[in-house]
Amino acid sequence: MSDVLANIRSRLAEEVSIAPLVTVRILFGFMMFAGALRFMLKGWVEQLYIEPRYFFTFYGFDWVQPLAGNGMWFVFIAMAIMALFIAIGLFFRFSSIAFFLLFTYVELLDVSNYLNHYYFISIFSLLMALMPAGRRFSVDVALRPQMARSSIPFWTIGALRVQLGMVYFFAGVAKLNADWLFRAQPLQTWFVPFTQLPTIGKAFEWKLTAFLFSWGGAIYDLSIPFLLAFRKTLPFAYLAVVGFHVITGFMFPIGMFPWVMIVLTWLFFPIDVHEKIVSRLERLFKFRSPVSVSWNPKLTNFLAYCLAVHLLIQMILPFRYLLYPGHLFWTEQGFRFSWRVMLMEKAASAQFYVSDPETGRVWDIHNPHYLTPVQEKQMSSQPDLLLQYASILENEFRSIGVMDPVVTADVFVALNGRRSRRYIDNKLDLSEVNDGFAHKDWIIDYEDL
Amino acid sequence: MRKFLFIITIALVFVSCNAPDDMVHCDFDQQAMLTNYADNVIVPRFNDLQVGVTLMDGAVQAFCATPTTSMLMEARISFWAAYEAYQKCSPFSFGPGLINGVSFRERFNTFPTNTTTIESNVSNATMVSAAPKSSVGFPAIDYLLFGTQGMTEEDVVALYTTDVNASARRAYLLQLTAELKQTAQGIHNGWSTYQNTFTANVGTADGTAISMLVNELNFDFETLKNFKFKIPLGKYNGGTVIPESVEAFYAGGSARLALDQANGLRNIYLGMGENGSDDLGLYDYLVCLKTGEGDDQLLADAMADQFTAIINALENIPDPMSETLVSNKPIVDDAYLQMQMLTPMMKSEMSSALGVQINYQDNDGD
Repeated sequence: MSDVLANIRSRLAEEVSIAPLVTVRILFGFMMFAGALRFMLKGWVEQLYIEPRYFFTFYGFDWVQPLAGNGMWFVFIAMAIMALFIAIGLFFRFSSIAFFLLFTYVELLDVSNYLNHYYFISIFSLLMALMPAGRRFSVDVALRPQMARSSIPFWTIGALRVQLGMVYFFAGVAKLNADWLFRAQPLQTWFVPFTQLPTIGKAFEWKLTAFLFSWGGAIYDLSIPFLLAFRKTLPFAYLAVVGFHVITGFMFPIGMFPWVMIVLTWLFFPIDVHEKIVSRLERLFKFRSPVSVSWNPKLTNFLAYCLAVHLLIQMILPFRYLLYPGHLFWTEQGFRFSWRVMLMEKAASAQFYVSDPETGRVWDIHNPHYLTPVQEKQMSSQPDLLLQYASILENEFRSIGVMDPVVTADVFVALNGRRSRRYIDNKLDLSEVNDGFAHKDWIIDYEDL
Repeated sequence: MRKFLFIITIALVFVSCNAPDDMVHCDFDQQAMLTNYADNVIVPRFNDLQVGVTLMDGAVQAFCATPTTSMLMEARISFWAAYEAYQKCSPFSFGPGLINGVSFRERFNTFPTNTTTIESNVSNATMVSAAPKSSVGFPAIDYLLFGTQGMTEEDVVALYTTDVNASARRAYLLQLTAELKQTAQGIHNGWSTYQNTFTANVGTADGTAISMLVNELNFDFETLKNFKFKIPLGKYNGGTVIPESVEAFYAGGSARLALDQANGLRNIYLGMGENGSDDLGLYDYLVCLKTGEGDDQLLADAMADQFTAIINALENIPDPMSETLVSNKPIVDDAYLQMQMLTPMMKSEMSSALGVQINYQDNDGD
């Protein structure tokens, strides 16, 4: 046993070429540049961060607020520039930290824009910032050759691979539920738009197709990290990665995510492949390959332990939902930050009411007065957002002179092709409920789910 | 994995083969449904509207030529027929129903109308083409043909004969009906070419015929619920009823028009044609998709039942609804509650089952 541990230890500490960090840095940088550019060109800066009157904040992060005026444009322009800097390795330490901060800032602004792959980018950009990815084949090194490093301990690459592998693995674990495996839901529902495609449309009407995609997806997610990890299975696994992401990328509106994953899973290729690529690039751009210097700052051990703790937390987070009673898909308590991607179809509607106990007057709330369509959609099925909306309404009505507004709501939610059901206690004054990590017992149980 | 890809390939290769029924989730002919909608619902309804507003325009011309109480009565009757025909067309503001990117509804039926603006338009001889939407369309004609509360037919006729602005008023009224006639004819003609585009535009993604139809159905239903009931009931102002905000306030036929609209919406949902035919509709699509299978009732049937409940509740409301709002508010409230119960089914369950995005806002998912 101790032999095994010692083996792992020495493997992790083994000095390997820095090349994988360099290739991933370049690919990641250009991808993020494209992503920021796409976001701006789509008009989303305006739509998601300037136009909304209100923003739904993450618990404990309500102090994170969007910048006024054109401030958000500057954030995105800066983000794009930092991504380019990362790619070319200019002021890498600064640009990588700045990119992480800017990106994470934007993601913290509005829960209704939460996507697992944005969360992934935040984590990955932080990990990159901690590593010496700018110390070879970079502008930094061209300017200050003494910065160049040729080797790194293997655990740096290992940590990135584990992080990447976990995204797939936990996405696979999440698919191991009755709806996904035995009702082929939500895929059966999501296939409806494809049934009219020429030639292949008919196949999307078959139950078999939905079941194949459901089971295939689960098997793919659970096995791909391991298949990528072994040299023998790697080429075929990478082919599967490309195929899987290209297909899902065309089928579903998942933006940059497929392309980011296709590019980052390169990280699993053998180190000598990366070394060859980087050496060739160096020759092409007339860079001197670095003399043999290893990266060994004083904090290496500390950093290694930090990463170990980080990865451990990452492995525990997806299971925190077990601490809550009720069905995870219904209550969504412990749903986020767990790689539950493309997992359920929820359709909800929420009619809020504000009443003034002093006068007995009641107002019906017209959600579009306060929220964007995306915000309304997200708010209607997520309990913590229902609470935040109640407090938005409470403040709105206080400001027009209702001293103690009572906020109630008729919320109906439909899950994975079932009929909709009442979601929360419609007598409860939501403005009196405080959000927190405790179980929200005002969600009505879905017993036979 | 290799096996998985292999099976997928096989599945796609054998696409032309027909699988047995229980192997198929739902085999639905979208194109047949769209053809039914175009041929038996949309085009006949726009034809009725076109005929209705043309007759109204003729009756108004006759009235303006000889402004008598009997000619006024003729004009009023034609107004009702045209307004009722409009109620069945209001969910179709796509394709030819969009005029320079704006829904035809805006200039047909923006209510409550602004009588101050109408009077100033009349006295300043403002052209209808230059008048704001709050002073044109059916609501403006409603005001001009029926006059304010307590006015007799003779009082109204006097405004077109002896009043200082009589000739300007006649001119404004004539332009109002002419505008509606021209637009309705334009939309009806537009459908003769748009029809094929519409029926061929299969799928349910944003921009497809079904997506437009479902979005419009929802929008029109929201209009019925919010503008015709919630606002007059005082749902947005803390409970003070606003009788003068109802549709057709001067003519006093709000409940009747609401009933027409609700019947129109139900028939779209069921796929019922204007000639009484019952062919493929959204109801049939939902039956095919079996949404809610395993629950107490299929979504398709629950929605059909709820439409019936709404129509029954509307039939209970006596006109003029502006008076019923004051004398018997609970009866109006009940109709609103029945509509409210349809909202989750129509807006979220049905659109989710069909893969249609409501109020489409472009964004990524994961």
